[in-house]
Amino acid sequence: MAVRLYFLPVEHLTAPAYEIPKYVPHRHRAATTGLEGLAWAWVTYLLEDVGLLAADVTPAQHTILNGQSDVIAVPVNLDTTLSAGAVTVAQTQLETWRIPNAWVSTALTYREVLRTIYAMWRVHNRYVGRTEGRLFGGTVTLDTTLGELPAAARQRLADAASDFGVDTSAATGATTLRQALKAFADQVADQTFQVGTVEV
Amino acid sequence: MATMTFLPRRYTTTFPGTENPISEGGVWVQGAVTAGNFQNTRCTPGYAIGAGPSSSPPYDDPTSVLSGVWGAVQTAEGTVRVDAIENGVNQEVELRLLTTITAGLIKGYEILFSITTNAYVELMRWEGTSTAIDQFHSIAFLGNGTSPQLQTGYRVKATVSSAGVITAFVDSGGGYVQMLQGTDTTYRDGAPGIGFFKHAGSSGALSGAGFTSFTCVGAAR
Repeated sequence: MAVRLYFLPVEHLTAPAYEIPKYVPHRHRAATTGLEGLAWAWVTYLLEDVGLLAADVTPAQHTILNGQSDVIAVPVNLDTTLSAGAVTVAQTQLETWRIPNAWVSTALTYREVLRTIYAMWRVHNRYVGRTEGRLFGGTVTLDTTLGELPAAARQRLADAASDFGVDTSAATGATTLRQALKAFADQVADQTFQVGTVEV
Repeated sequence: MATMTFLPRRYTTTFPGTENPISEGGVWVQGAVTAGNFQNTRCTPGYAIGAGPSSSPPYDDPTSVLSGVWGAVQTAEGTVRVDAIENGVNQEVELRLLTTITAGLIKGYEILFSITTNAYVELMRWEGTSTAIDQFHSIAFLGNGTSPQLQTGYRVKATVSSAGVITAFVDSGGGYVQMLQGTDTTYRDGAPGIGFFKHAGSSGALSGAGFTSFTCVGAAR
């Protein structure tokens, strides 16, 4: 057994409206064959379609998860740097998930990448929690500028960042969400976080 | 008028009264009374349970949290009493952390413990959207009977740290054992509390499990 991390899709159940990780067990949906009984925990990009899951898997269970086309397994050793191929995969997937992506490079370790992604998720998720609704969707994309957001939404985003000690004074109306999320994250990306029992 | 709240604060009760809903002098905020769409909790001396089963959907779990400001670091624990198990339907006792009950919605964290033979423990976030009352997000799950089936006298506990790490524990008599841990930083406001769930099932009976005591502590981040 080894505790491993995976990026995997959110499955949006209905009746009840329930967000759970794809493939792994949940009381409202059976697991993929071979993953029954697997305990898990995850952090997500709130109300978006991806999460980072931690699970203590057997080699066979890892093979099942890693074999899914929409799952990205993170290496066990988080302190290795990304290969050029891994950078390409990461950049492609991050953009798909509405996460700024151009900053990922072969100079970074997986731990550094994960901390930056999670730092963006924290600010985003706090915004969503305050707003009781999504940041993205409709006409709002990563390339939307702060000036194009309603004033209340812009203030809530600043408040969400401030909750984590982020200085938002450099952000202007011309700053895109892509730039803002990354700039906010850079200020707290040195902080550790926990997924299940895994400290990143 | 400005109010001042002193943290840490603590509340403990053995539910000495007969109240429906539980009030204990007005310290409890109730799911039906305040939110409207959910159910209340009630008590008879020494025993708190849900006001009724859930037709689920909607998942209108009997829910109550303490009033006032509790800080972002919270602990809640309860001693369990199990009266009746109706296997084949989900029955749970629940602890609440960082939970807010306002008109039309409840948002925060639910840490639920099953009392049925198909035991499970789950950490959940209630989204608090106003478009539908039962919108949930699972944070961590331990299921398929791999967690202990709760019995009378067992204690359950949940904590949330300043980093948003939520941990669930069960004490079956030998001390608390960690069951599950997850992280979520969506909410940092709200109060600790209790909840219950029992699907109406074939009997339509009220909840067959509750708490004989409850203690919570809140501290600033």
